[in-house]
Amino acid sequence: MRCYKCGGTLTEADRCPQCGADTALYKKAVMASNAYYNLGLAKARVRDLSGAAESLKTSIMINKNNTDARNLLGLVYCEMGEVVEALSEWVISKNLKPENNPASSYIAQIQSNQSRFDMVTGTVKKYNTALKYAKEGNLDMATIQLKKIVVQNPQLIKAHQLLALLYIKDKEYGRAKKLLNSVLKIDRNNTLAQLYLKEIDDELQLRKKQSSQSDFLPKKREKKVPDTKPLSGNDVIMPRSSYKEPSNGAITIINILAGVAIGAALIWFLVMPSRYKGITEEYNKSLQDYSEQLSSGNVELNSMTQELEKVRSEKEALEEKLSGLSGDSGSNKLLTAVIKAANLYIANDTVAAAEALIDLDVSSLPTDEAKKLYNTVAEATMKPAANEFYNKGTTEYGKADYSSAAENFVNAFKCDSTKAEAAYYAAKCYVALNQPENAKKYYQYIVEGFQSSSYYSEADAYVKSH
Amino acid sequence: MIDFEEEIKKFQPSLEVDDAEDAIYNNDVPDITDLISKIMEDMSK
Repeated sequence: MRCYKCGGTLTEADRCPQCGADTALYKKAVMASNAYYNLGLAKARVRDLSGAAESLKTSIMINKNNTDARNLLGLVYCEMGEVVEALSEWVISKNLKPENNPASSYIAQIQSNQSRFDMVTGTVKKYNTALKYAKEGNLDMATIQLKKIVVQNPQLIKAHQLLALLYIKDKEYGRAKKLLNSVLKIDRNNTLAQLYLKEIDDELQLRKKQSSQSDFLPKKREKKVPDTKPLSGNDVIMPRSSYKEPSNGAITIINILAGVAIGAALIWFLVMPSRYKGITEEYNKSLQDYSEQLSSGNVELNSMTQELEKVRSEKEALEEKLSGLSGDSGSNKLLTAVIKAANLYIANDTVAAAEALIDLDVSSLPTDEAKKLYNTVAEATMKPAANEFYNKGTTEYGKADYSSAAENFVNAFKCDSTKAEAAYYAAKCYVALNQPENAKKYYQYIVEGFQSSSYYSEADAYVKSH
Repeated sequence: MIDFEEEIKKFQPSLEVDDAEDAIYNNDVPDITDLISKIMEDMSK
């Protein structure tokens, strides 16, 4: 024991050997504090935690430096679920006696499991919230919160007590009793729990008495109900099952068959449609692919057909161009005919030169030089050749050789289109040859171009009559 | 019978972690030994 004034070690004497201060009262106070500590320790050993806490608080109130009392009070608080209170006591104890203090190990143990510490302090916070709800009259919310707390932190006596009080208010005495009994398992002489239990027992006895007084008729014999523990807030009530085991094998077989039938029906109505749907979708997809391929093929075919048509038209144009160059009316042929006519003219064969030019179309000649040559030869040969053909035709007409005569008259008219008599006799030859179309053609020439000629009236009469 | 309103008043909030620091610092209240020391000092004067 140390002097309260100088801190020196005290002896059995009532005065401090160092400072001489009177320590008699101080020693008695410290001894009283220790006595309360011993009392608290004794109570704690028999799990009278609330009693131990009261003794230890008194011990500390007498001597606040009693670290043993503080440490034990911290343990009692910890056992009652008040972890923060316990930690506070141990921190103060360690502050008073830093060396050789078991409070250090207690703090270290608390700090070693931080998640557990967070959970427990969380339940303390929830308890305060639930208490606030309860005081505000929001009892349902408070009950829900407290139910969670008693599961998470079963040591928190206050939560059990408050939840039991709420159950008592709702007249759920069974649940309240269970909670209070669990409180008494932690804190054997918890005054509040014992008070509530007593009140519950009194209430239940009163009810029993009232019910027995009201029942004047003989009671029906009740079935013995097996003793069950009172329900807590965390018990789950399972509904009574209506299932019964089948009485014989036939029902079992019927049940199995019914199950098989239901399974088959489920497969038929649920699985098969989806399978069919899958197959149909696959078929539709492939059909769509084929359609796309077909349409693309058609497009390609159309383009190829168009290309073929184009090539054909080009080919025809080229062939036409080629025939224009090398055919009967081709430029080469025309030029050859003009050259031939020129050669015959040079060779003084006037009739042959004119005959070479008769069927030539001067506008078809490819060059101006050729046209010029054609005109030169034609001017020089056509008139004389016309007379020559006309004379020949007249001779043959006289011999009744109408076919040769008609040819010569036609050539004469082609060489000289002003020669009306050539057209007239050509028409007459065709009449004689019974070729009315040709005859009408040449009569038509006379009607249109030679109205003043002597042949007009005859020609006009023939054209009108045919 | 238990009066709920009266009983609920007896319940006090628990100490939370946030309040622990204040509780520790405010703990330095005089005890009996402090009072004895004070009395003895006054008597010696």
